[in-house]
Amino acid sequence: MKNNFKQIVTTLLNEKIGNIINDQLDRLYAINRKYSNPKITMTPTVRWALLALRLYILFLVGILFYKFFTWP
Amino acid sequence: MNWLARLYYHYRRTLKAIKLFFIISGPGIIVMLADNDAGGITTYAATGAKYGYHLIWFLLLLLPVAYYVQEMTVRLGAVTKRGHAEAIFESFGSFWGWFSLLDLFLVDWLTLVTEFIGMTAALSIFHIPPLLTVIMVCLLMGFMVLRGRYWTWEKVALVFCALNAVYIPCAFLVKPSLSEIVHLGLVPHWPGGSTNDLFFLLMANIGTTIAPWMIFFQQSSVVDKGLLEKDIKFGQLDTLIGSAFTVLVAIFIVVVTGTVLRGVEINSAAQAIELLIENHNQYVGCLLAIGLFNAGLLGAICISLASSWAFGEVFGWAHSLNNRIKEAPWFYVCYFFTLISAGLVVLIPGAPLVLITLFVQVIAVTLLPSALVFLILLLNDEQVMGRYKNTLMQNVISWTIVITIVILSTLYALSALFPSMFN
Repeated sequence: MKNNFKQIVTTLLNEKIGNIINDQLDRLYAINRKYSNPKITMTPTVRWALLALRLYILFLVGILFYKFFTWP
Repeated sequence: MNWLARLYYHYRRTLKAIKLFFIISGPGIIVMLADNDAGGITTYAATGAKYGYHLIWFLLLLLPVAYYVQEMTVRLGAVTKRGHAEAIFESFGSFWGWFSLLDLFLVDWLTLVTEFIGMTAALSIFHIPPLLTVIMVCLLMGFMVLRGRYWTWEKVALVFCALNAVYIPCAFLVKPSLSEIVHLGLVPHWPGGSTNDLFFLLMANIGTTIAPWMIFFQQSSVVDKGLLEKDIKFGQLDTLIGSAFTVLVAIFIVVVTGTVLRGVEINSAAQAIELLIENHNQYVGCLLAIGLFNAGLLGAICISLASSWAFGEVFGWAHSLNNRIKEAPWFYVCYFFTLISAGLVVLIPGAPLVLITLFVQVIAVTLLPSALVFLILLLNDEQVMGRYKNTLMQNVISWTIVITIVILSTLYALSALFPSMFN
């Protein structure tokens, strides 16, 4: 009786947690779909600025990795 | 008779404009004074202690820098009715959107930890244990938002802004020399030549003037308050007044430490306060401790909201301070999660608080350039901004400020990561 009750609670909880996670994942996919196409007018300035930002962030991530692996 | 009627008309019109300004003002003053957070107070205290009044002119230069950056968020928020996170997702796509959102969350959380470090250090001077400080702060910040009204939150936040005035009597109590302030402080020069120490402090001062969370916070705040395009002028004035106050507070702190702690190496504001209490003026020390606590609290109030607003905008949750908990549960979960978890970190014995403080500077630098660049690009998109887009002059000023900030903040982060690099 006690074991059955535990099993039911576990199943319900798993189901509930699973549903919450699935809902949130669906929401993430929906956000990605909603914003898949950038709406800003792609002028040369915008293109260059975005490229510069990508390179800058790659540089910073590289520095952080370097620091992480050479941390005393 | 005609002139009398005209005079009365102008009087009524001015009175109405002043009343309207008081209704609309708030986000600019709050964000600017919250910018002088616990980390900011430490930077100003260290600047005054190291270089006396010599860098006051440089602090004055930061007024237009802060104004021009934050003024853009007012226009963008009032025109698009969207927060900065949502605007980035919409205009630049999900890659840059997720990058900005997750980076903002990390920066905000780490900065919040530093605010708690400042608040617990300030109240420990009055022998209040850190646990009690954290509980008190969480309860107070809970009370501010639980009424479910933006206006209540804003009024309480403005009271804490007014508490920044404690630095004014402090500056008078230490009896500084006015002529020295004018002669040494207002004439631009590099004290002791352009050394690495000076460069590091200048970078730190710029770093405390513009933080990524400020851009996100003010734009969301403008949207939550419901400012319209016709209110932009008042929003700009609000930001200008806030910028003036923030620089004024910085100058008063520099005057205090520049007068009584000149030549002393300061590592934290709490250390400066302890030195003041032990060796100089007990009242000044106590007032500064209250100021440090208030600075941390004001920073915490704004930073925790910046993240919650950003997540609410992107995930489509109800995300207004005008919503009660039942109406916007995820917004408040996010708010309290960031707040309580950051508070708990400070209470962990042996937590790497110094490492966290260092990390804040580095992570903030990864977000700041993108947030600033996106801001300018959005302000130049005619489709989005219409007649409120940046003019040529505004673009020249904004790009100059942004490029300078990006270069200096990158060097600041590098010097924090590799201290020997600039020696």
